[in-house]
Amino acid sequence: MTEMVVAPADTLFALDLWHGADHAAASAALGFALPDAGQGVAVAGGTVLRVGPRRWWLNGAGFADLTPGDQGVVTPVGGGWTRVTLNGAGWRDLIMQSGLIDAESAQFGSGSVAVTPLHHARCAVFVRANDICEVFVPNSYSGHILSHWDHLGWTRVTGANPS
Amino acid sequence: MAASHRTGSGISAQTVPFTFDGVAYQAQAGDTLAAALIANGVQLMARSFKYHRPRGVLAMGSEDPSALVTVGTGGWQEPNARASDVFVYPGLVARSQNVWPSLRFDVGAINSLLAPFIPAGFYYKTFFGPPSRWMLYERFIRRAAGLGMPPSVADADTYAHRAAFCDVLVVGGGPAGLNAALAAAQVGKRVILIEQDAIAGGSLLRENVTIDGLPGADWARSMMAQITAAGGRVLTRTTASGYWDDNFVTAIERRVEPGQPTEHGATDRPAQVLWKLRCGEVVLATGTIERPLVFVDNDLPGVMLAGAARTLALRHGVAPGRRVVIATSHDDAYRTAFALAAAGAEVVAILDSRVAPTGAVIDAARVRFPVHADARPLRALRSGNGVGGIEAVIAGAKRRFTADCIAMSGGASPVLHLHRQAGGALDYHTDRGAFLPGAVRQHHTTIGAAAGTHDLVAILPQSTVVDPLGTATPPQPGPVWHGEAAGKAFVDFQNDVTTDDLALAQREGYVSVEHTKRYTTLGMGTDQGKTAAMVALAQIADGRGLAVPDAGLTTFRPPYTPVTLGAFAGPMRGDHAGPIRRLPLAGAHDALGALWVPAGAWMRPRAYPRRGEALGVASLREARMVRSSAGVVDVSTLTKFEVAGPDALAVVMAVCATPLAKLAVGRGRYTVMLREDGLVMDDGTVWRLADDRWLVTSSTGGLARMARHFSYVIDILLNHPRATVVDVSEHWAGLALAGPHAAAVLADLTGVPSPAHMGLIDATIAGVPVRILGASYSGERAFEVHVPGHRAAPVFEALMAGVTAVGGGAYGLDAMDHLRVEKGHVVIGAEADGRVTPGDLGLGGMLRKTGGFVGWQGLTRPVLADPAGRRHLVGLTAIDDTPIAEGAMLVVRAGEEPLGHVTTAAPRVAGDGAIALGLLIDGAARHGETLVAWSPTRRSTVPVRVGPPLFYDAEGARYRD
Repeated sequence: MTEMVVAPADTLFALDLWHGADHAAASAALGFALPDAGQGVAVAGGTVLRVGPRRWWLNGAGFADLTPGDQGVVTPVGGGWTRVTLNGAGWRDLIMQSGLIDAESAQFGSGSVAVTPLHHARCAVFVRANDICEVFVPNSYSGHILSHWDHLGWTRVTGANPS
Repeated sequence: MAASHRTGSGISAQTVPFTFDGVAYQAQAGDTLAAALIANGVQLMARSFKYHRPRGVLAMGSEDPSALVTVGTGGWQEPNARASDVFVYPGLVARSQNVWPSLRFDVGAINSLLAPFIPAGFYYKTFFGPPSRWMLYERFIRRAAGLGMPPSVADADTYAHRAAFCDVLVVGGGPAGLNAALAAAQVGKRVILIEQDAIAGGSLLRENVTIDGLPGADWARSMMAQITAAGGRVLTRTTASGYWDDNFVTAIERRVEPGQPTEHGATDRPAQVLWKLRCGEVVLATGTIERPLVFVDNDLPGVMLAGAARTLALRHGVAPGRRVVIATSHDDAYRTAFALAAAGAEVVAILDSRVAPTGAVIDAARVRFPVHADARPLRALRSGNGVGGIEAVIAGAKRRFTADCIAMSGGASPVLHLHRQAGGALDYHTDRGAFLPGAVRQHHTTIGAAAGTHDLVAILPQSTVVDPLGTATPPQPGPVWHGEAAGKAFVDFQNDVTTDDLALAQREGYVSVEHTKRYTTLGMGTDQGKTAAMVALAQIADGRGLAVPDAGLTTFRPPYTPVTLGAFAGPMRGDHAGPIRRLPLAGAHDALGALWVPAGAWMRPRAYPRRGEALGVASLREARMVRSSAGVVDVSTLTKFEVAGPDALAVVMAVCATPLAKLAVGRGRYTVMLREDGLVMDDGTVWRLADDRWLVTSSTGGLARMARHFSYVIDILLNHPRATVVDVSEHWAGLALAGPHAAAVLADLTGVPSPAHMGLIDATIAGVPVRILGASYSGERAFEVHVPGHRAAPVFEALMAGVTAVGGGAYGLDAMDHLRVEKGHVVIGAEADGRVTPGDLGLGGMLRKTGGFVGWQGLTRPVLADPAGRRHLVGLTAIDDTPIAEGAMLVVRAGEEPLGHVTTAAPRVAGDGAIALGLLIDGAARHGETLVAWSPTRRSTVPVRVGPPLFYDAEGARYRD
């Protein structure tokens, strides 16, 4: 199967901690452990992706009212992102036709996260399973990228945000 | 048609039909076009570039300089394909090129007779004398230049780019490369092996050897299977085109042959793939390229490299001739004698330039063939368009042999292009007459024949190698040509460069090898002199009395072999030639008939022309609609940041140059952002969303610049405050609602009073939560409605219904520009061009008097602090209502030194005539003066009156409640 499910990433929030923030305290306030660099985890309410040195993405409606205590802030960003779920073992090949990322690495397995340019746009890649990958694409570039992936033989399906 | 040269021992019994110059032939599966033509008795395949001399194949690989043909038709036509590097496919259409009227009889061959008038460097000499002469020469030179013709229709193929990462990249699928790849794969390394041929084996494909009990070709197949089974990736028909920094290698994979049609629209099945390989280590097993010998008419069809002849016989089952003379300077060509004899050819003579050659293969040859020592060819004897024999000098005596094939070998050059591209050094070995790899700069190694090891036992120490002709020995160079016979002795076959040309270049002072190259065209063209370089270098060194390495080397530049432009472009063509950013409401704007305009990567509505309405008329109509009623413009592209945290105020105060500390929650302010040098970097608005949360907007094009600036302020200047900056530019779609009816329209939609100018409220429109900012760019009462991008459609629909009900509608970028010019608002890039201070723009009074913002100290520099002599923003009114040209110089009289320039021009919206903004030296003191807006390139001379940069509602009554 080479199917891409396209949905708005409505319930996406940026969690930023201050420089030198107490991660344990932030985790305690949030109610879940924050994943390390290059990782994403599923928690109650959705998924949490590490997308920068001091930034995580919280993907799920349940995160709307969360705060990390006095360690940082949460900002809604979902209106600017489209979530594309790639179903099919060929997603690694697709990603590697679109950017310089080692998606075939054994280290890039389930739970891995990478922020990287794909077909001109800065995207976030989250490996949900060996044959399922989520790519967060900036809204303004989504037509450009999805058209490229159409050309590469992937079938576009309109979906809802599953989180 | 000539008789078949098939020996019956070809690699396949499957036949493949193809045509050459309209004549139908049959190939065998696995044949190259060159092999198939020779099998069908066709030696004449091309005409040379300059002299239009008849040419056949010289080498049987990508290095062949001679047999260039055009393959394919229509959108698949590919000129300058090497007949030795095209594998025949059913229906292949190949044509000779650079010929008229026919390959066999080419009028251009008269150039050979004109050779004395067109020697090396003649082209440069055409520049001598009066220019009118060049105008005459140019017509002929341009017509004669170039080889094949480019296709006249668009490329029908598709191309892909692909990244790959590996621990070990092995370039070359010969015995050394296969061995290295398997060894690495078996210890768990991620291995990629690339081979430019369609099958692996390299030199084994032209040898009668067995390895571990298998014929060489079978052993190679077995190794490929083992590498794949061990997890390695094997890419055949793939050529490493470039070796860049940090062990980055690019390679081109051909998935179809040149000219081979692919299915139209099959975008997921590219003809070629450009691989971008990031490698931990690179192993170069690139083998060698055989060198020709130099003698008169050594370019005739039927004269070829000994290795090529052997490849024809052993790989393709084709005898390149009936009567063959072998001419050589080393042992390897003797192997060709045995192979050709086995293919049924008569080996008339082996001419060895060495005085007393010895060795196992030579001893074996003496038993079967006439071997002549101290023997070297003087000239090939012509028969029609091919070779009919050879005249040689043997131990000082001339002798002729009748032959239809001359297989020659003047040594071999290790293929070190990638090694050199990677920064590797070269070491010259006099005994071999060759450079071998020296010190490396990147993490790569060179192995096998490319590193000077030719003995299979040494290359495959763990294998059992049986070679009936004994151990292979290193090649030795052929003799330097000293003009022992009169005529053209070619060094560079593709560019028709002879030994005489090299000597002429030396005589005329082009002694550096780099100069010689440019003067003679040596080493240029599709083959880049692969067979010629070392031969020429030996000739040049000999002529100058130097050792070869002292004569210098030209640069080994990528690509190794020609790469089609389509492969470079990959999927980035058509709509994908560059990134295109679409608005979240792009579909809605389309439905309104938007005329799109690129703004950076964004596509934005420029106007919404009615049927038959000109763009300028539409824009002015839309602008006047806003002045009289209400309009909606999409401003989603504006940059937006949310700054939040206990220290957020410190961050915005550092970035924004206006007073902010006392700004109340729910209020905003126009602001400018400065560089450290005090010049304006961007402008926008800043809003206090909560005590510790701010929204900062700036220009569409300033996103990356402002993000970098915020990062600088937070991480460097303020040393990590407890505040964050989040780019919410795309999260919030923005719709500006402007016009005298805007407040009422908005209040009707939200059910609450609209915010005051520079006020902010949260509200709901069409059931969607929105944020409304009271801000005006048009000069009218106006608002920006911010809504999450995914939910913008119903809000836009509601706004459009509201404004339509009061006689308004949508307006585009041009109308917005007209409105802001009339109001004197600046644009980053036009008025704020990176050279102006806030004071220059008339904004000095809004700066925070206490300083503390980036650029504050910069503004105190005398050059900025003193307004005298600086360019000031001014308004310009066309005295005769003639449109003013943007970019026009502001002068006292046409032709005089400019005092400034027009930054933006527009028609008057409120009234008639033409206005503009401009930057003018001491402009603030020139109000009332008359100048000329002069643009010689646009042939525009418009008298203008200088005034303040404000043409409408100077009191600001229109945008306040």
